[in-house]
Amino acid sequence: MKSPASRCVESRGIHRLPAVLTGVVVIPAWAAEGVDAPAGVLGWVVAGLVAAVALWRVRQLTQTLRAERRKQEALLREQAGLLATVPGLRDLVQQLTAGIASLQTATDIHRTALSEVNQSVAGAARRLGDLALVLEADASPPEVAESAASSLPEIEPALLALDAAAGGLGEKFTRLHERTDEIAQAVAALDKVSERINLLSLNAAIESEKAGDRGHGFVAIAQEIRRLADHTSATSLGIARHVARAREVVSEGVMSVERFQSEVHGGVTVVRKSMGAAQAGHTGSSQEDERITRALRDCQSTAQALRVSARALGTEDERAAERLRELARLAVQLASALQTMQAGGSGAPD
Amino acid sequence: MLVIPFWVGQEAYAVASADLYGVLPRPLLRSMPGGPAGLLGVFNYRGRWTPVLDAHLLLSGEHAQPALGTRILLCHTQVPDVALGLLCEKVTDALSLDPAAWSPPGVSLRDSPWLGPLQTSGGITVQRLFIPHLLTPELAAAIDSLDSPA
Repeated sequence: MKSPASRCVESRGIHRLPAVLTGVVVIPAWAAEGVDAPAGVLGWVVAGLVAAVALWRVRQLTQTLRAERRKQEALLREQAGLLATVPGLRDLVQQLTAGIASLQTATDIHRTALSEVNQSVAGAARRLGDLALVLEADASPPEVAESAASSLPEIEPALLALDAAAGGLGEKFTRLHERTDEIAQAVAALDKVSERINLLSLNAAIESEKAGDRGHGFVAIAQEIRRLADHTSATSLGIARHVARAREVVSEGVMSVERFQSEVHGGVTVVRKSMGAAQAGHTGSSQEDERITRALRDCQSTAQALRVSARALGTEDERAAERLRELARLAVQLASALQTMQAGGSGAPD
Repeated sequence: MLVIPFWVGQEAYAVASADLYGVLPRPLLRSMPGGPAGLLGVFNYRGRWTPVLDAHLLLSGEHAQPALGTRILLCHTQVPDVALGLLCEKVTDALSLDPAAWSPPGVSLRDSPWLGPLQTSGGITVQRLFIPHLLTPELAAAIDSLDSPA
């Protein structure tokens, strides 16, 4: 492969310079050997003309060479400017990877908290369902109403345990809310990083264009980096939407937990009243049994609503996790595109 | 040729990358009360106060909205070593266009000589802006007066 200097020498006719200089030497020599004076004078005139043309040509070629050198220096400067964008992009991609890792951690913690909530809610709903079934079975034949009253002492501690569990559930939902906020912050940080990557890759494309033919490869890679950054931005926007939905569900969950607690309290009051009546010697009426059963069923239906909220949260979490995996893939692709850009820069043709 | 497009509503405009120093996020601007029309203010760019025009205001009469894609196109001017910032919306991409495919809009725009030829690419019609024409004599004079180190 020919060097730019040799290409320049050929394109500007510098390779013909030795022939011209030979002419300058040979013609006067030929003139000096001439026999008659007019031929000798003519020889000197021709030699003078050839020398003047040669000098003019040499001057012209020197100017051309200087211009070429300036152009080469300018190109090197452009290339240096272009390569200067690479470290910034590398830092940003590292920040992006770190941001994705922190988002992954926050999401994992969120999922663990959600799983705890799910277990508590499922346990509460099951327990309430069992209690209501016992009561319904006892209360159905009016002649065995007494045995229903006998199951009340079992129901009270069970409801108190549920009340305590509901308090724990409230705390878990609050923690879930905090985790959701952490995820939202991580997503916002990611969005800022992808925005900066987009900006830097735009400037890399502008610098590449200035570098002319040498920069065309860079333009394509900068475009790819921009595409990946935009995709990252769109994906983190998707996660932000899931997080917003998860926030709504968590808020609904917190309200459901409050309702659940108040219903459990109500249930405890009803059961205690019935127990008091039983202790005073009054046999539990079927209306009282119904009231207790209704209270338990209300608690159970709220627990079911909580389960639905927890399931919805699980779905949002799954979707967010899927997008998170996509983000991680994008970060790897970004790093790889950046490596290509750097390799292309350091090994750019001369 | 590479151009940096931006949007005013549903319409795309573009500045050639050769006319640009680069793209910057929207900086904190120092307002210049009584300045020429379209001048949003100035900001300190590498030790020099650089004027910023609102492209959205010039092209639609409404200010550009602050958003992630609202950025400054830092343009070359006819004043040596003096840049001009152009605040534009949705500056997030670069387009490679055919330099021979530009065609004049077919109408004479005496009041907006900065509006250049049109080109349709990928279903998007882009109009090129000629930055030097954006500098009215009044604005050029204002920039000249700013031409001192910060």
